[in-house]
Amino acid sequence: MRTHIYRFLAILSISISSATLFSHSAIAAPDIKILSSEGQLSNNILSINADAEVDLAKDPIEALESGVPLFFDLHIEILRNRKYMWDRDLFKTKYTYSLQRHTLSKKYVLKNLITDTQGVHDSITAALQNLGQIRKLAVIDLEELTNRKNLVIAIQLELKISALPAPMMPLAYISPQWHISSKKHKWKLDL
Amino acid sequence: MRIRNTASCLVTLLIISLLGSLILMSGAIQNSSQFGALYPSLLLSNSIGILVLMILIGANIFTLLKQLKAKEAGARLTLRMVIIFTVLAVVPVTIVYSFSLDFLKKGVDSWFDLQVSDALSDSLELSRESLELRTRQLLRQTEKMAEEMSRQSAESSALNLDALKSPSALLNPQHIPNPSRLDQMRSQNGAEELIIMSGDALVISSSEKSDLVPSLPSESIQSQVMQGQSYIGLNPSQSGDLFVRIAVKLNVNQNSPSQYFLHAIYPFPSRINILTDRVEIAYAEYNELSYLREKLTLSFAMTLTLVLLFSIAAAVWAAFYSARRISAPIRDLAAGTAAIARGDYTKSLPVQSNDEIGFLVSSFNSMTNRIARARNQVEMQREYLDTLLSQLSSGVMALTNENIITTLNPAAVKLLDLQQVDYKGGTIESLCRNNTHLNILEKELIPLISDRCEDWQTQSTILAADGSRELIFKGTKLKSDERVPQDSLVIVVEDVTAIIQGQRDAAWSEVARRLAHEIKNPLTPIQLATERLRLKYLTKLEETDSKLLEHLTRTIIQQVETMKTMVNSFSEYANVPVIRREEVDLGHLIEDILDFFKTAYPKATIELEIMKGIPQMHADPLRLRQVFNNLIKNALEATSEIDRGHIIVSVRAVEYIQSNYFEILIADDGTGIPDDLITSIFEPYVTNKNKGSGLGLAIVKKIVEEHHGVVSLKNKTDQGVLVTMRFPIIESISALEVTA
Repeated sequence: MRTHIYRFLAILSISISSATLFSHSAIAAPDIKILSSEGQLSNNILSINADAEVDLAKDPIEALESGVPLFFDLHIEILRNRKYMWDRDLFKTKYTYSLQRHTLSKKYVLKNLITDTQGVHDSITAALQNLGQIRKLAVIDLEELTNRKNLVIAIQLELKISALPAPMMPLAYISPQWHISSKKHKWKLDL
Repeated sequence: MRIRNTASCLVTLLIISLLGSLILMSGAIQNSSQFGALYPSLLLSNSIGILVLMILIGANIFTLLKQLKAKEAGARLTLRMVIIFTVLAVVPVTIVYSFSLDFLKKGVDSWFDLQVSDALSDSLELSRESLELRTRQLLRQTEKMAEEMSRQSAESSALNLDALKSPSALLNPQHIPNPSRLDQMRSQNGAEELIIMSGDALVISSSEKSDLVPSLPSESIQSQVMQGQSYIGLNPSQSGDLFVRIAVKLNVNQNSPSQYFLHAIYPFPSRINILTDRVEIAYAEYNELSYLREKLTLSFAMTLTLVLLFSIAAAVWAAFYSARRISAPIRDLAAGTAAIARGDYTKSLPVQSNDEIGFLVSSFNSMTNRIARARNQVEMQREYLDTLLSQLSSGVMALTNENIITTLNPAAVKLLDLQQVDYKGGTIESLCRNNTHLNILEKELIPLISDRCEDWQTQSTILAADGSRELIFKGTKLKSDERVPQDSLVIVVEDVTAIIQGQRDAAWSEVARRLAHEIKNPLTPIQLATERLRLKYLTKLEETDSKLLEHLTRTIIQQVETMKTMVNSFSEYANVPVIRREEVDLGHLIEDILDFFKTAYPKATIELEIMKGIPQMHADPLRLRQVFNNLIKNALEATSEIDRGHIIVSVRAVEYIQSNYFEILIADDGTGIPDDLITSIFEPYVTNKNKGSGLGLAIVKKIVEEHHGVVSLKNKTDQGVLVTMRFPIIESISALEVTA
């Protein structure tokens, strides 16, 4: 009897470990690559330009084609680089984009929900290209920062699973196809 | 008990939390906007909760299996109840689950009707067709405007587009296109925006209905138009309304260095917008729902499965809990009964309810109390009897019909000289067989016991460690009743050694006195008469007769002397001399004696072993010397037949039955003593030697007993005799007198 219990516990622990590893590897493999980035300062307003390659798997594309809106979060952080300690968070913001198919016009509408601007695209590829082209995105008024030394900007673009319709969420959480995220892209801000 | 209650409360709390969580999850499924964000967390927490419940059930099963294996009381009953409860709960729930799943699938499928789907697709298609007609019409209008602009550009300098591209165009008013004409064209054609753009994306001129910045076409549209293909596109606006974007190439002067196109945006009438919007929303929602159908079914199924697992887990746990609660009093009763079977009457069971089981438990408790009281009374009676028996100077032994010893009081143990106190449970035969000194009883006592006579009596002599004992065994057959089995026997053992010894001593003293009086007195006249006869007639007779007379008279005188010596020895034995005690160094005394014998018997090896630190002995040294002389002389005589005899004398202090003794051992490797003489060797005139009076050992015993000691003699297992003497170690002479 005791042997059976030990065997059951062993199988359970192996399954949990495998599931953790699997989910971890799924999360760790990004499908969004940030190719380049830069910061611009104009009238003390810091804005960023970045180019990213956004690639969606089969399931998200199928969902989009079926009328399910997809949401993307662009996380922007301003950090202070420290020599002997980890970086210190100075500022955090988030831009959310929605991508939806307009069935009647057969167009794809990419909308920045923060700035309330939108672009209409003939294809998913064009829409995703547009999503990856981040231009003059205002981040912060540098007047708010007293010390402008050793500043680092970090950006990360990811598909927001929590914004999916509830029935899709459980499967999306465990499916690697839906874990689409870029690595945190950092660069030093030269002012 | 308290820990168990706390654990039960925690599990109940867990079940309630899980139930709440499941209700929330169900809400999340039905209304995603309200609980959607919580759904994954709820799913996870519910899964973990159910897992915890499963682990608890696993632990319960494991414990139950262990109890079953150990055959613990109530385990089988608990298992049976758990199985019944579980089956009663699981079967209906599983049936409901399977039907629910089926209904769920059918219910979700029923939302999607093929006709509705086709109707929506058709309406969408219809909308598209309608909008396309309109857009084609708008394209024709735009192309007409483009033609008109191209013609005017060729005829009028006012629309010289090339000139407008030059840097000085802004300074030359005649080159500025007539804005009112563009506005007029826009207004006539119902456009929202009209823009004239060059191939390199420069806005040449524009006209907008509102004052907002014109919405410029994308690069792909521009390049498409520059290649001569008109662009027509239906786009949703920021507000959700549809508009048409059209771009048409302008055919300006062929000599012109640049190419131009007209970009126009047309809105749809609000009525069309409202209708198309409705169609769009309805179709999109239906399409999305259709896509989510499988996911929705799966989510509902997952929720339902979780509910099923939760229900089963909760039911099984509740089954365990209820079964344990119900079987607890029965388990206690079984444990109590087992305890009583073991002889533990102190077990009292907790009365937890007022129902029939509670009544049973309280009845059990009162029964055990009564049994315990009765048992205590019996125990007290037994203890009283034991105390009584232990106080008796006579030994008491009780035997069953199979001769198993059930009672053996301390006096019996002492009288029979048993080393191992507890002989209860063994048979009398094994007792006699296992103790060498009781072997003799096997012949004398066992037959009487086996005969089971009503009353009998016998006397036996056993050789105990401190000498021979005369024991009288009186047997009585007990009357059988409920408590006493048939043919049970009680034997009373009495030590009559001292009485018999006293009687013998008195007899021997009387004999000695009479001998001294009746025999010794005539001996002197006999001796004197013989000597006179010899003196008178020895010289007068002839030589032959003289020799005969001399031989005869000498024989008479010698025999008279011998008789006198014998009578004197006897008198000495019979006399009660005054003992003059003083402090004696026992080792020194024995050493002196041995030195004499070593000289007298040079061939013999005599060893002396004396323990260090032996105290002084309070004794009469002359009497003690006589004891050692007799014993060592006996030992040397016994070994004289063997060349180079070996005698070992040991002196030591020992503890025996919580008292300290001097112990003197004299061992020889001589011929030993015949078995038939060993029990009576200390009696007067008992000897295995050809010479001697036969009083040596009797005198030894007498002197030893005068010193409150004991002497024993036994044949060694290999060869020779071992004499053991023990004298009590007494601190002072006064103490000795008190003891005496």
